[in-house]
Amino acid sequence: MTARDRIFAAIAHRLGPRDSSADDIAAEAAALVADTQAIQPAFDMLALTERFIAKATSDRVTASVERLDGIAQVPGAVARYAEAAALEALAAVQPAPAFDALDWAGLKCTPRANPDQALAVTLAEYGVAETGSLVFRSGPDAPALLNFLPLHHVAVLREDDILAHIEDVWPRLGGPDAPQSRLLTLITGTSGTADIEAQNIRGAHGPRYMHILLLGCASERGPQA
Amino acid sequence: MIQTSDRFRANAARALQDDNLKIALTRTTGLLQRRRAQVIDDYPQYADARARAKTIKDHTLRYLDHYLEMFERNAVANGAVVHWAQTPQEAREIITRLCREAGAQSATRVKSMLGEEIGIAEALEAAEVDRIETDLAEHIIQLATDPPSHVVMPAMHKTREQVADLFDARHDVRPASHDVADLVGSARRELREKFMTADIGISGANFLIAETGAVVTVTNEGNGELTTTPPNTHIVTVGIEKLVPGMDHCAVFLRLLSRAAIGAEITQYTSFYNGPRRDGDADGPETYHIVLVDNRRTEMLGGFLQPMLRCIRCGACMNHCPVYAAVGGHAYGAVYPGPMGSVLTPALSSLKEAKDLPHACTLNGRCKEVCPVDIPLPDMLRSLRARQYQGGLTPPVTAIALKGWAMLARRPQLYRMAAAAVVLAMRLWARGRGRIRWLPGAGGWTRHRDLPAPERGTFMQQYAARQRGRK
Repeated sequence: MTARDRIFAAIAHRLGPRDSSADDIAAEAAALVADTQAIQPAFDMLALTERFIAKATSDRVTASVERLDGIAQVPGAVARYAEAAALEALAAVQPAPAFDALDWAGLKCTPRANPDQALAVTLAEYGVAETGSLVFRSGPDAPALLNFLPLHHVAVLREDDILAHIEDVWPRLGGPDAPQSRLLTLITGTSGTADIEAQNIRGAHGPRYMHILLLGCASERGPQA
Repeated sequence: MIQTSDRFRANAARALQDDNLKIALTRTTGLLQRRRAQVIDDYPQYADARARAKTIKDHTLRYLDHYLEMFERNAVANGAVVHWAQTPQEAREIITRLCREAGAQSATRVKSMLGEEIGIAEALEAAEVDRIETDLAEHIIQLATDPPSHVVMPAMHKTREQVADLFDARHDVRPASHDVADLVGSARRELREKFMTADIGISGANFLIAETGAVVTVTNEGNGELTTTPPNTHIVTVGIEKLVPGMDHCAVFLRLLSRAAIGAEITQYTSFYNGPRRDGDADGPETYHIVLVDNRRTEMLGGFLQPMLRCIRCGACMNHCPVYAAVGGHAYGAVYPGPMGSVLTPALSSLKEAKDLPHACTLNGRCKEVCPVDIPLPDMLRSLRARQYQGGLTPPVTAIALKGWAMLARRPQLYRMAAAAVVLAMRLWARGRGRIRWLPGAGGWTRHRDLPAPERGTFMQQYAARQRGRK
């Protein structure tokens, strides 16, 4: 008997016969999460951007947010960020089509990050207003390490891509039968540790700083802190 | 690690003399309690979420074989190689073999309690692979050659001063200062290149999603993805009880786990691993293995210990346990300390080897109260005590005392007379001072504090007097 056989035999022995069909079990499982709202933190669903910004910039998440009109302004904002943080004009930029089309003059760009990368720029697929999280999937034009190696992480997010709750992310990933990226990560602010005397310290192994460039209609709404 | 749970009393006595441990525990447990209380106050749906989490785990455990098959099918479809191990030894053999097949020189590792449980360090040693712990706390205890003392913060027993001494002595470049931020920076520098050059990355899992085959990890440091992405091989070791049916079920637990563990709404990194590197991917491992480990979990199914399989290893029970706060994690002498460890260790080893652990509890009930999946820890500890008594594992003096008490308790008249005699004797012994400084047979109590002398008469005597007065 293989270990697998022995484990399944032990489970069958301990739990005894159960006559539920796979469909019965699936129906029971679905019923357990039928009413997701009952357990989701509640907030104003018409003010997702405001909620996202408040969460992302909270003491716990420690990102900064800058609103831009459109993606064309990203290279300029990155250059300004680098200058303000006294960094070289050098960035690992995700090789995403949306970034390829931009004019990055003034910044030296590489598609990969090195272990001591100071600055990287990546494109988030979604934001989550509930927690101030960003959603990334690895892929040919999305190296996972770009989100983890740099000291400064500049993440670009379209305001239209801000979702309300964590559960709202899954349906947009193509469902359980769609091909899955190797890695799906919800990133909420900067790397941190509380391993020495429970003191919260930033920049443990991942980024110490996160700056979110939020693309939307800032001009219509006025400046945002 | 070598289990020393049968020496809890001696371990605890030694821990109480350790001044550094006292400082470390005082600096941490109170802070963790306050952070948790705050974030749960801000989540009015907490009680409903907790009840739902319990129901989801109970459902998944009832159909554990069904969900394990579903997980295996989907993980394999995603490109994973799935292995099964019934015992820690089988799990170690699989890991050693995978390391040899990969021709590995070094392995980076993300903390996982299951990894500690099966002894990953030994498996890597057998394969002559250099083990690099990347979680800050695990890095600290690897340098100190200590076992973990907490399920979320394995180096909770170390003060910042002790960590500073360790890093000064062992890091290639000494920390810039002894501030906690500079200590963290020193570990970052020390591990940077090692992440990129490791041959194997080993991680655990917080959840397994049956419907998609995903392995979910929640971390804060970012070492998880730096461990699992650069090497050519990624190995996941995980207990079979970590299953949940689908993504929406997982979301219920994500909200509870980080709140209970660290007082945060979500951890910094919530990662879903779906397989090896895809065609054309810019990074990621070529091979991806999942080792599913039983280690006596199936024996807990269907019995009084089954609720323990709901545990999501948040550590809230130990953060709120007065015994843990006094003696720390090492005194428990096992991989899992604190209240959950006192229940789990007897199940993973034996009630005999863990004989003191069911008694390392005041039955104050805080652990159950803060448990995000409502595990009745005090009830289970009481059941374990009863089983020890039935199994003849109770020390003779205690057993005789219990027999005597049981004899009295079943005879109300005799019990009342005996109680009245004891009260009278104690009042005489106190000689009208209202307190007792030393009591024969209770020296352990009176050595550190006075015992209040009893009020006049027993409860039953006072009750009877009052009833007479009413007539």
